[in-house]
This record gives sequence, C-alpha cells and structure tokens, in this order.
Amino acid sequence: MGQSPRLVITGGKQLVSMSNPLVYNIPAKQIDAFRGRNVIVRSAEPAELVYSIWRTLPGAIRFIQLLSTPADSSVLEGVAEALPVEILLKNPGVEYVQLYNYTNLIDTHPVRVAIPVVPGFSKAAKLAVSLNFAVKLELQQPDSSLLEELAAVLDLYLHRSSVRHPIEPFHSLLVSFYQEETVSLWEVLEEDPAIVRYITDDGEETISRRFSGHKLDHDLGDLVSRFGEKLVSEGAECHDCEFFNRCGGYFKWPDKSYKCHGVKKLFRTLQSAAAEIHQDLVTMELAEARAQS
Amino acid sequence: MMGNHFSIILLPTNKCNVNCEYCFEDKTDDRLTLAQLSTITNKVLDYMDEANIKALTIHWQGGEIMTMPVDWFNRAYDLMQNAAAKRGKFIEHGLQSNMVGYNSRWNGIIKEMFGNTVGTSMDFPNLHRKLFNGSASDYTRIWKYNVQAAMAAGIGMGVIAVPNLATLATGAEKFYSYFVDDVGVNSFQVNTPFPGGEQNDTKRSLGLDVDELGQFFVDLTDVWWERGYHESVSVGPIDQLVQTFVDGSGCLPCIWQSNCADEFISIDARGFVAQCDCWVTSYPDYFFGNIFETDSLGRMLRESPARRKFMERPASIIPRDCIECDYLSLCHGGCPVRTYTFSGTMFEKDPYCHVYLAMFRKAEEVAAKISGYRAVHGNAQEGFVGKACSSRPMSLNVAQGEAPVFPILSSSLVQISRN
Repeated sequence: MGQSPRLVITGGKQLVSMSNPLVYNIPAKQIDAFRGRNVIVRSAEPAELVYSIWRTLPGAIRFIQLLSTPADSSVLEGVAEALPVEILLKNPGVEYVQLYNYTNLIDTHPVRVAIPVVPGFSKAAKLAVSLNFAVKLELQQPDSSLLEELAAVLDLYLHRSSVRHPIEPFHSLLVSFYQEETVSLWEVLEEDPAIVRYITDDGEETISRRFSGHKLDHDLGDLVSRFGEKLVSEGAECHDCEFFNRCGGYFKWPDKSYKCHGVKKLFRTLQSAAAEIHQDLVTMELAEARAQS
Repeated sequence: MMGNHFSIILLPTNKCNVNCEYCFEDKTDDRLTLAQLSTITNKVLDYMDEANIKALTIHWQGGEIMTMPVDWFNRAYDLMQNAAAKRGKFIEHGLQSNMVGYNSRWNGIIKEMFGNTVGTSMDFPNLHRKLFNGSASDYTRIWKYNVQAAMAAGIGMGVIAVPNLATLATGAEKFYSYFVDDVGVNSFQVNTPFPGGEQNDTKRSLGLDVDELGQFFVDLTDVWWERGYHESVSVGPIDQLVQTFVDGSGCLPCIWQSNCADEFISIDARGFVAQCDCWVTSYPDYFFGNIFETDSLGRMLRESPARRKFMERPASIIPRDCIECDYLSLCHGGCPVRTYTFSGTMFEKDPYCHVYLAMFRKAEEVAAKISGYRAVHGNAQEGFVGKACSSRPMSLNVAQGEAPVFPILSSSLVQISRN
C-alpha cells in the first residue's frame, strides 16, 4: 500500500499526506488504517460515515460515499458542512425515489448521485438532476438497450433547460470538446489508478468497484496507459478511433472485443453539441457587437 | 430534516372578520396568548438547535391577523427576536392579511416586523369574498380602499387571486388590468382553487375546466409578457416560472417544491401542528400533534404518522405518474392538499396537472424569447422582480429567505489533479 505517509504540521493542525497524493476509496471501518492519507470514505450507514469524519484529520476526506438509501440520513446534514457527499444507488431503477429523502442535504453539502448504468438507470438520472443533485454515471460496457437509455439521458443533459447540474461523464466531455482539450474518461469517472485506488471490503487494492475481484496483470499506477497502448498495438478499433484521446480504451474492459459504435455515437453527439454551442456564442458575440456599434 | 432554513405558517388566531364562501378554514375563536407564543418560540428554537437550522421564516396569517391588537405584535416581535438572538438564530417575519381591518395604526409594526410588505387576497371578479353583513362588492370596496391607503403609506402589497368561472369568462386582459391599472399593485399571484374544509355549494362548484383554466394562464402569460415584463410587474407564478426557464433562479411556490414536508409546517392558535394552514385548520386526521403537548417538536415531526404520509407521497406518485414528464423538476407531482380535497387521497398527482403543463410550456416559450432578446441586447436582468426564497407557501405572496446555492460538483479527482 505504498510508503508511510508524511504528515505536515502547520499551525498546530495536522494536514494530510503530501508525499502520497493518491486518494484511497476505503470502507469506513478501515478509517484508522488510512489515517493521514487522502481518502474517500464509504459506508451504508450514515452514522458510520459521521464517525469516520470525527476520526479523520481535517482535509483528508475528499468526499463521503453513502452506499445505501436509508429513509433518515439527517445525521449527515449537520456534520462537516461543505464536505461533498456521494449517494450510490446500487439498484437505481428501484431506489431512485428514495432520493426525495436527501434533498435537504443540498443545504449543507454538495451532493452527487452515483448511478450504475444498468436497466432503468435513466429514471434515476432524470430524478437526480430534477432534485438538483449532480450525477455521475458508472459505466461499463453498455448493450444496445443501455445505449438507448444513455442517449436519452444525454439528450436530457444537453437539451432540457431545467437540467442545471452536471451529469458525468457527459459534462466533462462536453467541456473538453468545447475547449478543444483532451480529457481522460478514466480520470473523469474516477478510475485512473494514477490518482485513485479502491480498497475492497476485504482490503484488496484495485482501481474501482468494477475492477473488484479481477486479477490485474500490471502495476496499478500505469495500468491505464499500458492497457491503451496494448489495445492500439493489437489493432483494436481504438487504433484509429477519433475519440481514443478521451476514452483511452475505457470501454474495452473487461471484454476487449466490445464493439464501440454505440458509445462513439454518444461521443459524436457531445462533439456536435459543443460545436453548436461554439457557433451560437460566436453568433451572439457578433450580434452584441452589432448592437453596441 | 429541514435543511438549514425552516418556515412556519403561524396562525395566532383562528378567528376571522369576514365570511368568504370558499374559505378552507374551519374557524374558531381561539387566539394565542403571549405566554403561549413564548412556549411555541422556545420549542421551535429547541428544534432548530437540534436540527442545526440557523434561520426561520414565520408567515403570520389567520384566521385574520388584524383581529389581533397591534400591541400584541409589538410585544410578540420583541419576545421572539430576543429569544432567537439568545440562541444565535435568525427569525424573519411575513404577514398575510385580508386588509379589511387595516388602518394606519398597523403601519409601524408592518414596517418594523414585516419588512414593510403585506400579502393580501382578492379575486376578479370577486364572487365569494364577503363580509358577514355585506356583499362581495362591499368587501371589494373596503379592500381596495385599504390596500390603496397602505400603498400610499409606502407599504408594498402583494395580492393572491383565485380564479373562478367569471374570471375565465372575463379573460386575462381585464384580470391583469384590474390588479395593475385599477388597484395599482405591481405584484400579484394566481392560485388554483380547491374545495378544502367543510363542503358547501360554492366549494362544490370551484373545480374549473382544466383546458379553460390552462388557456387562461397562457393568455395571462401573454398579457404579462406584453405589458408587465418590461415594467417589472410580477405575476406569480408565471414570471418566476419564466425566470426558472431562463436561468434557474425563479422562486417557485410550495405546490411545486420537491416535497413541501421538507419546507415548512403550520401551527394554529390551539397549538395544533400540521403541514400547512389548509391542513391545520380543517383536517384533524392529518395533524402532526400539538406543540403544547409535546416536549420535542423534532420528535413529533420524526414520529408523526401523518407527516410520514407527506414524506412518502413522492415515492408513491412519481414512478406511476410523473417520472416520464418533461417538467418533473418543476412540479414533483404538485400539491397534496389540492389532490386530497378533489380526490380524497393525497397519493395521486395534482388534479391541475394539465393546467400546470400548459403553464410550463408557455413559460418555456417566453423564456426562449427572453434568451433570444438577451442574445441580441446583452444579458441584463431586465423585467424580473428579484425574489429570493427558500420555501414559499402558496397562500402567501411575500418574498423571503435565501435560495440555497448548489456548488457544481465537477469530478473531485479532476480538481485533485489540477491542485
């Protein structure tokens, strides 16, 4: 699990490790073992998350992750104001209505809802943004039916004026296309092992929930770049994919033979939308200049 | 349980000085003493401590507020502000009155306690608001005289209007003109009618054709856009809906909050606690409890079976009726009391769904025009009356509170890598 963290003492306060910038997504019960590290703390119990916050150095927790949707989470409302909270919907097609129990959290915390892309997930995404939560979609290798749902959610994100909060990874990808800068999908979805590690409930260190239980061949730190290089060298469709500089082969894991035409369509939609926004803004600037002259 | 802001619709008296035929309140002669108010204040502050709530808005109404002595409010204000200051809390106050009992003696407390604004009510044409010994036209005459006197004294007036069959026949143009040109107010709100409380012939006739009512709101939106927008006239909830579509900053009424049970409660002059003034005056089966009979308001709210029904309403209706709706984020199934009084259950969507859809579509269309206008003429906030709000009961037409700002949470790890 790497070298021992170096604690920086400033003004009597212990700050978090400066020598190990990795962020560890840990079960709350392991909070003491990761003291001094940058962590994301997860638990199904709101009270356990609160206990973890009390046990941790200031600034060490990047966000807390609630793995269930109990009806009463009010214990979180008054604790560590401004600390981001992520609510994971394990079964989004069923659990989504429970989000109504969390609307007050927004008053005291930035709140994001993590939604696995499984059948019915689009309802959860729609309700989450309707309740003013940010959303992170947890993608794997979507089949045609899930791609249809993804397209519907992308349309919601791009075209419904009532949506005012980011839906990741669409938001970062759109910004990236608009600014004509590359972005790593692995990083956006918090699965770049150069930045984040996931500690399973059994203490195994891996990349993210979707990698749990999989035997990984390489050192975790450069797994993404090695995986991408291998895909290109093996002549997979990544080889000449226009979106590889953003995707990095994200959708080729675990099944390298997964056909990406569906996800490429999503990328193209985002690319077109960015171009459209660009054009609209140019038109507006010209109109404003005309009005002023 | 309530976020960082909490609202109470407080009815210090259940007594009223007029006899409106469609009133949903079952009146009594009860009124709060200052000692009782002190008890309520302390229990509410205890709850705010317990729930880490910093700010409270009290919407004062009745019954009719102005059946109480002015001096009672002077002392009530001191009592509450002192109690709040000792606990490090902030209380602000809003006032809703029928204005029939208004006179200049109220001006001082309205300025000091209520931010020099009052919300009141009037319909056009007025069919159902009546004095005990007088006609609707007598009521209208006294109301208009007093409202104009208050405005002449510098008091800001907001009016709630409930459309009736004659309103639809008269049309949006005359309706708008009555309030803005004739009475002279620049802020009014149109609420949909519902047959709350004990039934009578008037209440049985309150249900309007939803197509006609929807068209009325569409027409009223056109009138506001043509005549009111550039004059900063507020016609709620139309202008706030449009602003919501333009930039998300509109202040929408309680009927369209994600769940009104998260926003406020109501306490009446007997100490009964319920969801809002409609419930607390007329539906004992839906009382959360009595604040004089509990040690803990927080425990009452957590354990009340009646309140649990309100909390459970979205989970019941959203999957069945609303999840596919394009305007889910604006409405969330609408108002429980409107649903209950028409359907006998709150576990259905609002019976005015069709009307709301017409309003939302029209507001979206107008918002597109405004966005287009701004694209050419710049991004000034012309036309909108600034209204900050956190929770805004439909029965009140005054602005209050601060809207919580949601910081966009982009990928935390992108932030980490940038750092």
